[in-house]
Amino acid sequence: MKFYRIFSTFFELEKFYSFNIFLYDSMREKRLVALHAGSPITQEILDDWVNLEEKGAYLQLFKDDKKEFFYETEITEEELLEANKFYFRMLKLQKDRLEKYEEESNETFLLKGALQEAAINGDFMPLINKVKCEVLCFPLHESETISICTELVDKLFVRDIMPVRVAAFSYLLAKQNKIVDKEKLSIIIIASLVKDLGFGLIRSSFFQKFQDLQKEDIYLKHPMLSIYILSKVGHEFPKQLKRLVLEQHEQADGSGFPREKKEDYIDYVSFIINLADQILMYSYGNINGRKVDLIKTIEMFHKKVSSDGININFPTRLTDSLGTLLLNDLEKELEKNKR
Amino acid sequence: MSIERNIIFLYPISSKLKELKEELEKDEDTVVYELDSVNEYRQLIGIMEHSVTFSSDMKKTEGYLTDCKQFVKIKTSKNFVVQNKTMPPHIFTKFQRMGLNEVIQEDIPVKNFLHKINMFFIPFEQALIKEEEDKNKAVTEQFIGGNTLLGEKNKPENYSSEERQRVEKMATGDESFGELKSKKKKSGFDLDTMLGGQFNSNFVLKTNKSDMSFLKSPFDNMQRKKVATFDPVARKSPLKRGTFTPVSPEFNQNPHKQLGIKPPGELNKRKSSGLVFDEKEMRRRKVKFEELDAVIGKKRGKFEEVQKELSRKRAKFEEVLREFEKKKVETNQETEVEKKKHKRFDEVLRDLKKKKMDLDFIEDEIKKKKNLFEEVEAELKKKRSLYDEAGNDLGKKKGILVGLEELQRKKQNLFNEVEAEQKKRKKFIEEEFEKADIKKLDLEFERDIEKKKGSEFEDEDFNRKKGLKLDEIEIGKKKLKFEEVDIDKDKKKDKFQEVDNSHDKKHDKFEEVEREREQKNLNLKDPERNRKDGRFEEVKKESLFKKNKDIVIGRKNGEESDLDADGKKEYEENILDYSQFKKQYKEGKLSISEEKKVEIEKKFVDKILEEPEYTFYDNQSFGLEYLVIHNDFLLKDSVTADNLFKFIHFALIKEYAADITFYLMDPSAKDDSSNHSTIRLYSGHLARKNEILGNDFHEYETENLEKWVDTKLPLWQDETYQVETNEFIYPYFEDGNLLGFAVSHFKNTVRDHSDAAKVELLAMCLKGSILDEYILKNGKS
Repeated sequence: MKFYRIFSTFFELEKFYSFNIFLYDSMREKRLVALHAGSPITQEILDDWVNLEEKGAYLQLFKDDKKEFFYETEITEEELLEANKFYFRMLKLQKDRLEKYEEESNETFLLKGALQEAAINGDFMPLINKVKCEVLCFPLHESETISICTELVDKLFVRDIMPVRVAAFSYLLAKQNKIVDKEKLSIIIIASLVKDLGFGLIRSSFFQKFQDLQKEDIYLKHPMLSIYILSKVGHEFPKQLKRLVLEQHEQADGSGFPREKKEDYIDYVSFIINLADQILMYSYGNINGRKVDLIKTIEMFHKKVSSDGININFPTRLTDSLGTLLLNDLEKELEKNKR
Repeated sequence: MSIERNIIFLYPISSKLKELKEELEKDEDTVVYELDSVNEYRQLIGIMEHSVTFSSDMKKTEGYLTDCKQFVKIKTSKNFVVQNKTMPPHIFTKFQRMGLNEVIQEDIPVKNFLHKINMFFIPFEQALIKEEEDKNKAVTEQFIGGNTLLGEKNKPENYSSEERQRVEKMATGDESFGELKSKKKKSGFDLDTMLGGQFNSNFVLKTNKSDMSFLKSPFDNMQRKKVATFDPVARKSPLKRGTFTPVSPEFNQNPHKQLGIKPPGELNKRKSSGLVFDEKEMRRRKVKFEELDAVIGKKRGKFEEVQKELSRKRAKFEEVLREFEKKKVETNQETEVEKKKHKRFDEVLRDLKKKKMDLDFIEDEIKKKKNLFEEVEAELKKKRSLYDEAGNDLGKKKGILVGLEELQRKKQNLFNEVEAEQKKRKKFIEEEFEKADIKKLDLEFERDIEKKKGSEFEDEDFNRKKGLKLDEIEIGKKKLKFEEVDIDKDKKKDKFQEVDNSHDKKHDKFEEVEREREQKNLNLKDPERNRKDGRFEEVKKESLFKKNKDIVIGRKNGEESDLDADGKKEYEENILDYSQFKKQYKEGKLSISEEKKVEIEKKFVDKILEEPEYTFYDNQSFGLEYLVIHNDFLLKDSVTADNLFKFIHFALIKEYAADITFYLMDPSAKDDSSNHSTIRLYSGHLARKNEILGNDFHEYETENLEKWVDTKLPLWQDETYQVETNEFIYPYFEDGNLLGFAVSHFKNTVRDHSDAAKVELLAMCLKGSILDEYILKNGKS
């Protein structure tokens, strides 16, 4: 930490200090010298500082002036740390997370193998764990979205539930499609988790039969309902996140909903979330009531085999990438022999 | 003959464009293309000569303009965007750069569009017609016999006719074509025949510019020029390809070569004709050889001088070494500090010995090389005498001269090697002398020995001062027993300072003497006298070891006076100032001024102002995790509405230690507005025996139910979240009908709006369940 946050109350009127006092304007992200070393503190200056603090700006002390600051203001180190409590709390959290998950996040992970295992025993926890370890190592000072994403992952990625599975699978699919930007990956995870929040506003008995639900008009509006709920959260989410939520059911040929967009108008990442969702929902039997082997489902989408209730209109680049998750002929043979 | 009018419509298109398309489709001359994607457009535009593209979607427009830049940004292509809005100028400029020609407002009539299209195609059509006419004219002229085309080659209009005529001749196998080519170098015939060949079929050239455009390019002219100056004889000559660099000028003098023919018998000669010299060349070479010899001789003299110098230095070097060894023997009983120093001294001594060994090795090498050099020189002499004996026998002389040359080269190489080795040795010795460590260690050691002996009778000021200073430090040491290392350091510092001081003193003395001398020199302006004194001839101006002279340790007083004015200048330039600076710094004269200090401080502050601020972002989840889990519950068959209510209650307990109760409006009693009938769906207050309300929820409920039912919007009892027990009511509405409501109580746990928003979200996500219950009840009723 190069600058400590300090308060105007730390300083006495008409006193000279041998260190510079800085002012950080968080809105403009700019730092200026609030008072040069050796200048007296007047009432006017103090009033100004109080006003600025109310508006969100804050005073700062350069780390090298710490000793002088303690000596001249008689403020203790504990008081200074208390003034920077949030910073140190987050720093500790980040350190703890890195300590706990960094090693595991760097371990080699084969999505193909994990999916094969999941297809056999229905356990998606290895996948979920891998994503958790990676995401919790994301830096907390990079963006607000990343910070929110890490918190959601920390709280949710301990359960093997459908939204978490979809989020984990989307994340890994995105990485396989060379999407490595942490901000983008965080958006993918949040969008996959919250894309169906609108379900809460639809009659709950409709969910008894998911196949019937798809025919309901209200179901076709659920992406918008999800956006409505997100608007009530009290935080302005990134535009791309909202776009992904809205485009979660759009199809390349324009047969999707709610806006029947065509391929050129749909974000590629939306296709990733859609594909991950459809694969898992279909294999789980949510779409047509029949459970299908996960690998077979992936193969269906890879080969663009149409089936009841699923849409296979995805960009070829994306469906081709699914091929790497399938066993090749030799591996199939070996698997057979093993069984 | 007319050009093809291609009109492309890039979908999606506006209604006006649809109208235009329909209009254009009626016209037989126009070909209308309707394209969906940029990919299709890319395939199509490449094969079109003239085209007009209409689009109304900006994204698509941008796509095709960027993708097909090379096809759309040419004169034969026109691109229009038709849209309702006016385009901001900066965006239009951006598109214009990509190749967009015009943005047309949608409200203009179709007629105008048609006019624009016509205006675009008509010039091309006219140009084509004109060309046709020219062609016909040229053909008739040719048949009449008027061959005026060659003189008109600068006119671009006649280009196609020229070409046509040329191709005609080629096609008919006219022999006069060769003449035509010789007259007109820029015909481009060769390339035509190589690349084309399609002209055989008809006499009319293809009008497509893209096919023949390269003929007009400057590159093409260059190619043709190259071909025209091509000399096959020169290329075939083996001499030109061979490694003949030393005698290459000979070819220029050779008359046969200039004529491009070979003299009789030339082919039978040896290939190494580079050895065939004429008399003149021989003389020239001999002179060169002698010059080289003289240079080597000079260098040799210099080399010997250097060698002498080196041997002198070596003697000195060995002396220093001996001194060190002597000192080593003298120190038998040592304190700990001394032991350390002794150790360090030993290390340096070891290092010195090693270096000496290296030096010996280098010297051996030099000796070997020298022997070799002498051998080569002897051989050279032999050859030279042979050469002199050969007299007039030119053939023999030539052979010997070659040998001599080789030997000379060898000699030069060897000499260079020896010189390099010598330099290495010189550098090596110089390095050793320059090493301040030796100097320091030497002085340190001397002082230690003196201290041990307890000698108080030092002759020189330098040593006495040093001794006193040391005693003082020793006393200080006894007084202050801590930080021994620091004191030791100080001691060293002081001692070095003393060394510097004494050195300075000597130097000052030296300067005085020199000043006097200089004055004398200035007074004696007579150059004759100066020459007599030999002052300027005694010391070489370019001293090989001037660096060494500066650093020689313990210079004797007598030596100082040997330096002349130039030598002194060198001396002044190389040293002195640092010690003076040090002195001034110690005295406080060199301290930074206040202004400078302020300036530095300012610079530093300016720099740190730009340091990035590392702010962490709060890791909030806004309660979304509960909503996600709730979603998962919805998709599970086994989960009932009651489970969902319980889950939200659980979430509120976990987050805010609060209880919530859900009510459903009874649809049967809906009409009776005075007496509301409600059904309690789930009560967290009762399930947990809410302490906030004193465990008596029934009473509280009866008291407040009326108020709750009348609430039309989500309501917090205290929106500033200051009261101890805050009540929150969340009504559920669907199509203007009140379905039910939720009531919850918080004891100082909701403190700001973000908490309140979280609670509202949790209550909101149960709307589907309440609605379901309401409809079910309604159905039953």
